[in-house]
Amino acid sequence: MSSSRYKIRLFKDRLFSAFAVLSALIGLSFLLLILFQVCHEGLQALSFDTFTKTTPPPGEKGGLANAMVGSFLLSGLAMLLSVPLGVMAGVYLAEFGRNGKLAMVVAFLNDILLSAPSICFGLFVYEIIVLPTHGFSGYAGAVALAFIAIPVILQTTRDMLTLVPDPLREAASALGAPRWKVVFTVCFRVAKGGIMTGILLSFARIAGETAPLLFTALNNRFWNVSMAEPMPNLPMTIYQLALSPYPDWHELAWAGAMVITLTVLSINVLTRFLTRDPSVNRI
Amino acid sequence: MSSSDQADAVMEIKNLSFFYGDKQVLKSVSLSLFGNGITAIMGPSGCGKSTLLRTLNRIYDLYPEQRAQGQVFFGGENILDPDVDTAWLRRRVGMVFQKPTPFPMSIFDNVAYGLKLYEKMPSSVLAERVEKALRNAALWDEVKDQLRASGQSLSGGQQQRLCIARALAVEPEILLLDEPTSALDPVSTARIEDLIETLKKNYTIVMVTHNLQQAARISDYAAFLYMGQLIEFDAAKKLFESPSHPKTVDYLKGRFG
Ligand SMILES: Nc1ncnc2c1ncn2[C@@H]1O[C@H](COP(=O)(O)OP(=O)(O)OP(=O)(O)O)[C@@H](O)[C@H]1O
Ligand SMILES: [Mg+2]
Repeated sequence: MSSSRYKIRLFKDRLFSAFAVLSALIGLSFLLLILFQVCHEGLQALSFDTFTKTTPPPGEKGGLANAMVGSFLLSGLAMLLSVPLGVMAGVYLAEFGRNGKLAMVVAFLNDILLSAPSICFGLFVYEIIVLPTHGFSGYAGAVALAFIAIPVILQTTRDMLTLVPDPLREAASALGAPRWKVVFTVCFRVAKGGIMTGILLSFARIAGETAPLLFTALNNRFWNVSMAEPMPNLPMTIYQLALSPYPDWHELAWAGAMVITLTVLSINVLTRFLTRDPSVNRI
Repeated sequence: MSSSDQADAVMEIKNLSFFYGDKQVLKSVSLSLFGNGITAIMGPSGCGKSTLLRTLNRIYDLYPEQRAQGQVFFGGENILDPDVDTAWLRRRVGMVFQKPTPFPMSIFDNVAYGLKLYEKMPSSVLAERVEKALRNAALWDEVKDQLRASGQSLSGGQQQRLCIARALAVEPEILLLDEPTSALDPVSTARIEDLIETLKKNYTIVMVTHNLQQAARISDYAAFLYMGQLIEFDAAKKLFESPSHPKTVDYLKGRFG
């Protein structure tokens, strides 16, 4: 009796597996296509000038040096703002607030921030910084990017610390260590691999964000390292170059797209590598 | 115990009750811990043995929903008093847990962890103190060539002795051991039992154990807890050979637990 039922079950199982594999392949092939296209076009456009020259005037050749440096500065300042805030808030939720009311509310709000469209952060910063200061600036851009990174860092810090077993905390406390010392000398040692991963992933995430810069850092065709001025940056530059009618600019846009994609990709690979190292993320 | 013995009690627990939220787990437990001896705490699973130990160094403070009532006198103070400095208390009352809990750092740093909390000392003195603690915990010979290796790379039995060394390093007066051998193989267990016996010369030891043979072998005093109440507390010899309470008799005969 059971053999026919068994066959039906086997058939269902195979069907389901096939469906899952097919979906994965479709998803993956799009990803590979994009990657291939970006690299194919990007490599043709890429030259030494891309890294040394600034964005050209219409119709001329040039590079993306200012945009790269600008992007780096924006993301760097954003990380300087978001790492301490995100990590400390994560510490509060995992170590001190635990299941308290405030912690629950913060965790809930953080979940919302995590999934909020990034353009909202841009608009918000436009309201609170750009309008009052009467100008687009690198500072505003960095703050907008920080808003995107904070929830990610907070979440991973909290998750990683939650994974640290309580007996370890108790053992350190039993020696007389104050709470904050237990967190910084014992819990962080266990969780640091995971927290680093969160930080790097959030860096990768904000390095490619365009929307939050739209109303904040804006963009700048010229060389600029002053955070008080509109800041050149890769995503916005790519966006503007790509929308232009000039073929030279299109080429440059592809080069920029490739630089950004490969940077983000290598950060992701690096984090994978970091988390795989058993000595780093040992629990 | 007669009242004359209480004079040399190192710690005196009086009417101790303990609550996890609304759930009362210890019910008015009174008992004294005597110096330079091993007090075994026995009782069926869930009767409150670990809870009792966890009040004696106030480690339950970490969890806001847990609270203790009653008095525990130690060093002239009621340590349940919220004003008592828990760092002071925990330096004098060390604890080793059921599962080994080496910190994710080197063997040396594990042992030095507690020392560094209390004193600034030159590194040569620190090294001496670490060596002394490791020797006291009978671990020195096995690890002296790999002090920089991770504490987590040791075997389970070695890790537990590392935890004992870590607790001994700050030179406490009382050592609380919560089933220190239950996660270990017989060989490691025997080593740690030997170690505990030598330690009682210098420390007051309180040990929770499920293992009656172990308790009978090494303890000087024994307490039997049942459902949060102290049923019987006496010299170990007396309690094991002629227990006075029928529940203790049943427990020793293995009727529950
Ligand atoms: N964090 C906690 N929250 C609520 N109840 C708890 C908590 N820890 C322990 N209990 C309860 O308190 C009672 C006593 O627990 P305790 O750990 O002291 O028992 P024990 O005698 O050490 O048992 P075992 O021999 O199994 O270790 C048990 O009923 C247990 O369920
Ligand atoms: Mg227990």
